[in-house]
Amino acid sequence: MSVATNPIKLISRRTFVRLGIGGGVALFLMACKGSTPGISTNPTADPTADPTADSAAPVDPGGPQDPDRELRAEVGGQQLVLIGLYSLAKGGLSTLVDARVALLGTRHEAYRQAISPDRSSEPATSVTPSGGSTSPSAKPSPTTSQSDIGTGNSLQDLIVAETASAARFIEQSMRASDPELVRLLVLAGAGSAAAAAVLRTLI
Amino acid sequence: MSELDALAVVLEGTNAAVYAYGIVAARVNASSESQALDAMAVHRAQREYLRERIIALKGTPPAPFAAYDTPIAVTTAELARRLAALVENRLAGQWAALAAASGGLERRASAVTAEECAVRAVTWSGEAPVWPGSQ
Repeated sequence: MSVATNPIKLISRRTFVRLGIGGGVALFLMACKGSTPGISTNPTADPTADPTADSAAPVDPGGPQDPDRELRAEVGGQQLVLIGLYSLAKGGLSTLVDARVALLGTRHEAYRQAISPDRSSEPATSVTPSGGSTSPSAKPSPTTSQSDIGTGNSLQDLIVAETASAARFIEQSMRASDPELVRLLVLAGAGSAAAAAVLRTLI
Repeated sequence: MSELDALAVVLEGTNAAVYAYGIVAARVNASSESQALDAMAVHRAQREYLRERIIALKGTPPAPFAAYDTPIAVTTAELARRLAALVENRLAGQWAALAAASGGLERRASAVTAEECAVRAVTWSGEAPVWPGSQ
């Protein structure tokens, strides 16, 4: 590639495109200036769609012919558990922290919608990361006092859950057949790892 | 996207990240400078790993450019931190695409690296996008 006449300009265009930053400086600044992370729970409008991905996708993700059907359902159930954990933490935190934590919790609905879109929203009964069983609407058990779910414990529980979620997404990406599902699982794992990092700053 | 293509994209992104961290390190305060240089070292190491993988697949690793335009003019420490977060989040997305194009241990390594990039992005911005790589 010739860079003789105007190296920076030529490099810029190429790098801009290759890095996927072609969305524009304005978009970048909007994303950076906003006080809230870009939350999207609508998978059809999700900006994560990979324009370079092969067009061959499962005909019906989650359908009977989908080899990843069970995996998608497993992920969907686990996202419901995480949504439940965030719901449990709500109210036990200061207003400012509560708002940030709630925002982090919404991501699991986005993951569920993107990865397991056909899953109904019935309460989850799968095992929690810590080995217990819960549902999204579950309340603290009678043996758990309000002080037990104060800011520190609630956040610590969420950190443990998000960290476990990040590790589990990697394992699940190893089992997926569909490359696009692999990509989504890895991105969701990165999102969980990032959420755990944010939660650590709130303690 | 083939594994070779995905590797080339991540390598170019990593080349740009190494350059960007030079700018970041020059703008932030002393403690953050150390953080930036550590991150640069990580990306340098990944660059070598990516080159080796491309060569192993009979490809030609894209060479880094002497300079890159950044999507924002880094005039303050805060803008430098935003640039670092942007670079890391972009890389997280690129590593995720590489994971999708790879199998076995390479897929796992790419997935782990995507998570590491996303966590590093948080250390710069304090925020965690729902889908790293989508900004």
